[in-house]
Amino acid sequence: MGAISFFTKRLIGIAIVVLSVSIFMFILLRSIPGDPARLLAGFDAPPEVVQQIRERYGLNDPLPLQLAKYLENLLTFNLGTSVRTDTPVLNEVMSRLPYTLYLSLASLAIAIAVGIPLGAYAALKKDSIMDYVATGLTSIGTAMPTFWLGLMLILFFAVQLKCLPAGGAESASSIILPALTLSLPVMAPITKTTRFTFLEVLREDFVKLAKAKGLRKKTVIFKHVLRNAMIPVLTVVGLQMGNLMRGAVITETVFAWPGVGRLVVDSIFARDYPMVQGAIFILALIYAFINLAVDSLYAAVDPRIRLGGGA
Amino acid sequence: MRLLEIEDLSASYLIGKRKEKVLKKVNLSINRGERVAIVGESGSGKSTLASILLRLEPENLLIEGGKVLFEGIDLISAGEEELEKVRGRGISVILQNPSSSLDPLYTVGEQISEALRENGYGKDEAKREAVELLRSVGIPNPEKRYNSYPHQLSGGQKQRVAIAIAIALRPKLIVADEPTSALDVSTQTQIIELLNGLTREYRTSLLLITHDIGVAYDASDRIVVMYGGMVMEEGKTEEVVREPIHPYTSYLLSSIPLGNSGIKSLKMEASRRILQGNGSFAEGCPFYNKCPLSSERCSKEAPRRILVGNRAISCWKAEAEVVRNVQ
Amino acid sequence: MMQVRFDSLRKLGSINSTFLMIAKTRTGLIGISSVSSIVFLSIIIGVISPYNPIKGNLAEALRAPSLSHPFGTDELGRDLFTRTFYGARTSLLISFLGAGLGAGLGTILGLLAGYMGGAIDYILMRISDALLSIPSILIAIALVATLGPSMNNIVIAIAFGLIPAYMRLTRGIVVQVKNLEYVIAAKLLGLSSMRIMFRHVLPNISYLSISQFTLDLGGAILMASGLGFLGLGIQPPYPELGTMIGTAKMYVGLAPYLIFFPGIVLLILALGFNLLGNTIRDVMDPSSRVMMK
Repeated sequence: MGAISFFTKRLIGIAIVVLSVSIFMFILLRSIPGDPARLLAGFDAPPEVVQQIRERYGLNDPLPLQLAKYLENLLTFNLGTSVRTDTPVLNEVMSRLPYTLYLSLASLAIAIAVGIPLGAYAALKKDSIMDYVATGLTSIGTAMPTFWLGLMLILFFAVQLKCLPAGGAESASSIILPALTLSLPVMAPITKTTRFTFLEVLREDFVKLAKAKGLRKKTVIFKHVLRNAMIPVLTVVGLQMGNLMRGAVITETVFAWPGVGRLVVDSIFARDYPMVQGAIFILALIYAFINLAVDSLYAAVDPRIRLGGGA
Repeated sequence: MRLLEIEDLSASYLIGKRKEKVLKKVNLSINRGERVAIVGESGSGKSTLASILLRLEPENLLIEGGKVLFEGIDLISAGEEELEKVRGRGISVILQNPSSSLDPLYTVGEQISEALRENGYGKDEAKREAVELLRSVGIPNPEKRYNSYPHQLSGGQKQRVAIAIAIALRPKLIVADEPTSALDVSTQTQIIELLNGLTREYRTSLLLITHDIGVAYDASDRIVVMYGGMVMEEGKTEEVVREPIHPYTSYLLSSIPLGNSGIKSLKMEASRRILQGNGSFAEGCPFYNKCPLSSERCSKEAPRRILVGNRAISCWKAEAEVVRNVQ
Repeated sequence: MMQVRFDSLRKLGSINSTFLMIAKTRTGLIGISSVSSIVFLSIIIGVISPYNPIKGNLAEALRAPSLSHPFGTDELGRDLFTRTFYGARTSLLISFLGAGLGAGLGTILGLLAGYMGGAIDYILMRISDALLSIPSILIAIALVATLGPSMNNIVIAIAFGLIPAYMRLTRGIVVQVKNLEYVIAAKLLGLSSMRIMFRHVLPNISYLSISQFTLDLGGAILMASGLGFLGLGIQPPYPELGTMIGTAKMYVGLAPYLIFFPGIVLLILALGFNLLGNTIRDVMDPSSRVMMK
């Protein structure tokens, strides 16, 4: 399988994702009890406005035509106009997106920077105190309600110690607490998988042979064990994107972080449906592309994928 | 001084809270340039013994006593740094399954030259030498194969690469743990020939671990027969095979399948009789339950190691016979 | 690829011995005792507490923990201890129903896809691919935001995120099982597909879904309370752990115990379910039991 067909296949996959997300949203919007035009206009809008909206969104057209128009709009990134601010949805989402990406990347960086070494160390020193610390952190991290952790961190660092801001994104240190909060649920599975795969790889014959041929322990671990263990760890890192997104929505709300997640939540309460739809559409699209990027990373690590399997 | 001297080596596996004895006071020595084969069935402790030589034994193995002297250094008490010096240059290893003993993520050339580089070779020098090593183990087109990944080679070729890694630093001893068991019969013969050729060329000692007495016959000067963690019989290959003294050796010789080995030309009249039962790890001789010639004493006391000419035997019945002959 | 070994398959008939094996391991014991103590408290809370979880006494508002109010009182003067365990009851109910619905529907759809094959299989699996490709939180938010935050909708939202995983799990195993002798024998006897699927195949593969279900309970309770925290869960004044923390977040400096206690209970519940789920998987799945050693 060549590199081109790999990407073609994945791009078709993304197209399917985008299509299904849009159809899902379309069905959802049409299944709202009551008149969608009235919902879009707001409950106390005068009938003329409702009628205007009905025409503007083509709600008088037959359903298949509505779907076709809707899809056409999405393909041209015409995500509509915010009911609340009357600005194009795409602009608003794009202005918030950097914050979400910044928060997610910072959290992922912390999770990887702590999780992989911790898991590896726990495996190398199995049954030591650090191993128990790693296992405990894994269990608690998986079970931790993100919003509660966030509030506890605010309580400790912002309210008690007064050394870090409790929310917003005004100062450079604003990122610290949200990033820490969001990193924990992502760190837990990374640590767990690293520990597990390290233990597996350490038992492999090729590790035994690498030692036997006179390599230094450092070389054996960093060159052979680490790289082989990275393949499953990479899978788990890739799977964390969903976790990260869920965490981002909640963490952004806790810390009043001006990202897309908070935009979605705020828009829900403002009944700004075009905004909710548009933001979710963009998030799903990004999610699909990140997964594509993760899959391409495998090829960089594993020659068996790069060159095609089999002798 | 002998190259390798194993003295009274005892070890157990820790399985849960249980201890399972795997080596019982094993004695073994190898001279420079000598090829020694350890023959035994699975569970005899032969592979455990091999892994201890490089101190790469499984985590749950407990070494309970004895010494492993390599050029006078006791590997049992040696520190990690000393061991790193012995590994590769002093002793190297060939493992059973060539598919799992090479790292799938690096080219075979890299896996040879990294060992050279870590032991004093320059980058280009290591690469040149690695290509030469590939050529010497019979890999066709070695310059091109240098850049192949393990999954692109056949099983036999992978084992040749593993042998190239094993001889890379011209070690004094190669431990080959069932090097041919995972290969098909015709490849087996080629690998054994290759090992014989290389050990002769470099005057390297070889410790061959195998369950196949035919393979042992083809590739050793001396044979050590193990059963139940004990050395049963030890002697010159030709003599042991022609005239086995221990009942277990006779049994092994009688039960070999007719392979490609030169051993089939031998006329054997070994007893085919064997009793049902399992190898016992209790007080007495481990072969007691299965032995057609066992006596009361065999069940109670482990046999002593006695020397008969060039041979070392652990068997009460054999000992009694020797004593009778002397009288 | 998952391999099933039916000879060593732990049948559901031996629930007792399964329970004993779980209780024997340390993590299993911690999981069982933490979950069951909170479940027990949330069942008897109406009996042991003299306070009303919804109507409060404003004169008693925002009292710090004391003997009469072990967790303190909230901004409307309601006893937090009472509300916490009523809230735990709601959270437990939602996550059980949500995970149960997801597991049930996913298993049945996976069974259909795997057993029927062909076009049904293809369509169902493409739907599952599509669902898997959207983060479950977004599906849940979109559902609850448009349909409204009722108990039913929250349960559906949680179930939606879990369905595709069960579909894949079940389909994978059914494809293997349907070629086994006992299924072929049932076909030769002329039994209907429905009967074979639900009477013969399903009982033999349900152990997989059941152990996955316990593993998912911890996640479901976090999802339910997360939605509650965002204001998309059970609406006040009804107590739910996430909703309670969400409405108390403005009091983080003034009355931190309003956040601390419900959160701790939530953490213990999620932790307990995870430990329990891991143990059940290890006990029920012979292949992972080997890894435990």
